[in-house]
Amino acid sequence: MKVWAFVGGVVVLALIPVFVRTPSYLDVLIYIGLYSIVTTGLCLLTGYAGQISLGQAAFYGLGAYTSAILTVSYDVPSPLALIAGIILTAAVAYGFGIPILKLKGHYLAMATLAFGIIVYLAFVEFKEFTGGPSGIPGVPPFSLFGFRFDSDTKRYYLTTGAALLTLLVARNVVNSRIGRALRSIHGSEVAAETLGVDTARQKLQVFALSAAMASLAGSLYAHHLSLVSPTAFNFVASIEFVVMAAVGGLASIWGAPFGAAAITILAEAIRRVMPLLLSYASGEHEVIAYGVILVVIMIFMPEGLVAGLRAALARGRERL
Amino acid sequence: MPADLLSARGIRKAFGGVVAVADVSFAVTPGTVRAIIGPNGAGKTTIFNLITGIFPLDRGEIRFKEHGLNGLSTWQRAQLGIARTFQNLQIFTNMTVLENVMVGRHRLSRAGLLAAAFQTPGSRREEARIREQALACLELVGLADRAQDPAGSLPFGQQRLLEIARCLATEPTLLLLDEPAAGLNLAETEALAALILSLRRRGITILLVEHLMDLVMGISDSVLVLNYGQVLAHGSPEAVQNNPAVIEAYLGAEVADA
Repeated sequence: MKVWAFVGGVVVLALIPVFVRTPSYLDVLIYIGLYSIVTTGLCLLTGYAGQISLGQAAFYGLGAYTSAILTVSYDVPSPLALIAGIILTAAVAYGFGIPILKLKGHYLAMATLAFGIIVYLAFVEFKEFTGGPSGIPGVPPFSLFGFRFDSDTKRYYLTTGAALLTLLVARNVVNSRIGRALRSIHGSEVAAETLGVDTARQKLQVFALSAAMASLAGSLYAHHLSLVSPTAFNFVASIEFVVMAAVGGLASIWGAPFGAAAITILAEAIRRVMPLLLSYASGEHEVIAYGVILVVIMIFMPEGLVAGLRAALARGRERL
Repeated sequence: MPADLLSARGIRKAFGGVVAVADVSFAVTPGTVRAIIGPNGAGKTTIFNLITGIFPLDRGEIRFKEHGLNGLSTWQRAQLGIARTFQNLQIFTNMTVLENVMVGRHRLSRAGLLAAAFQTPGSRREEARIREQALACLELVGLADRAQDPAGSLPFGQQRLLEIARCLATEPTLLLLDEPAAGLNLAETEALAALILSLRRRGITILLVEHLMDLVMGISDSVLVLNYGQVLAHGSPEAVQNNPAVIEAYLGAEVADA
């Protein structure tokens, strides 16, 4: 049943570009894929291990900048640059996690937020590497064994494929000894320790894994947009990733793509609809509408979209 | 006489100005049930927290088999074969009953993050074994039919049994039970006594903190009496029950409380 749902989902995703030809729609779908990769990592970290991160955009940015710098300035093949980004970002997360993952709850949130801001400022200030506020233009398309992902359709398949692989890896981790250890930390850290779970190490590992996933998305983002600049990686982006994870639902990794899709489509829809409703609508009005809709979702579906829809389906079946 | 499995020498723990455990020494003989009793606040649970490394010692030394435990973290002590239950239950309510027990197999299984992420054949075989062994532990405490239920849905008494099953999954040499009978009815308490004795027959050494005197006196090989963080008496259940100091301090205090 689950396998068929997954296969069906893959077929639908594979057929989308056949029907969707409008480039701006494909662009939205590419971003949904990218964000769902980041959100999947966040879901493992927060939903399973119970550790919050408000600095995920920093890891997304580290991947993007590593790919941009290595491919533009050093002519490194894009897959190698992507892998280098993942290794670097995971190592940074591991090193930074050693002191800060000892913190809990709000303190951890503050520390990761601060980390995100520091990395963002580093992108702005280390001009000789990062190009400063204007960033690095001219990032070449991703290419694998001579195949260049140089159109939106090709890049849609690339990011969607990467998002599906990330979900599969996350599912495997969840259904394993490691996944149970992560959930045991969330359930009762002291009990997990008395059962022989090295909680500090498990937290570091999942933090590094979530960072690696964000880095993967960041690299693909750099190759898609062909430009990296700091604003995409500021703390607002980190908050948006947390919002996507929460809206999708943290209890299951399958919430991640739904949350990413819901928030991305919502933001896009508001951007298009608001000017029709309100002739003088500005960016601020969009933010207000966005905020109101999020509050409504969280009131009626506090467990997220996936759990909320599942419950609604179950109620519907009972009525039949 | 066989060497001690666990020994505490001159252990002390203070919280601010309150001395919870003051210069306590005791040893546990392998294959026995040793009870620790005493009025509320006598330092019983603190001793469990010191043995499992949840709090560091202020002074003294705890040894387990040939290992000095000072300086080892909680999970490392668990790796050596020390398991415990909690007076205020620490069930993983975000998992099923079976998954709770499967966490207990953590220390005896190996699959790492990468093996798990790519589901290597070795990790799949291990996962099947973990499931089997966890189910066997649930059967031992009589919870096998609840395996797939959310752990939080179990009634209180069964949650206590689930904690014991989770400990058994770690194949402990030493099992610390912190008030396992609290909140159990008479039938459940009798079943618990039988379970503890069956665990001892399997060679598991048991250290028991318990208020219920019938249970303590019925199944313990020896009893350690604490009062105000100090050892008041120790010996066989009969010797302790007839010790005038114990009757005065412990039973007297309880009468006064009531």
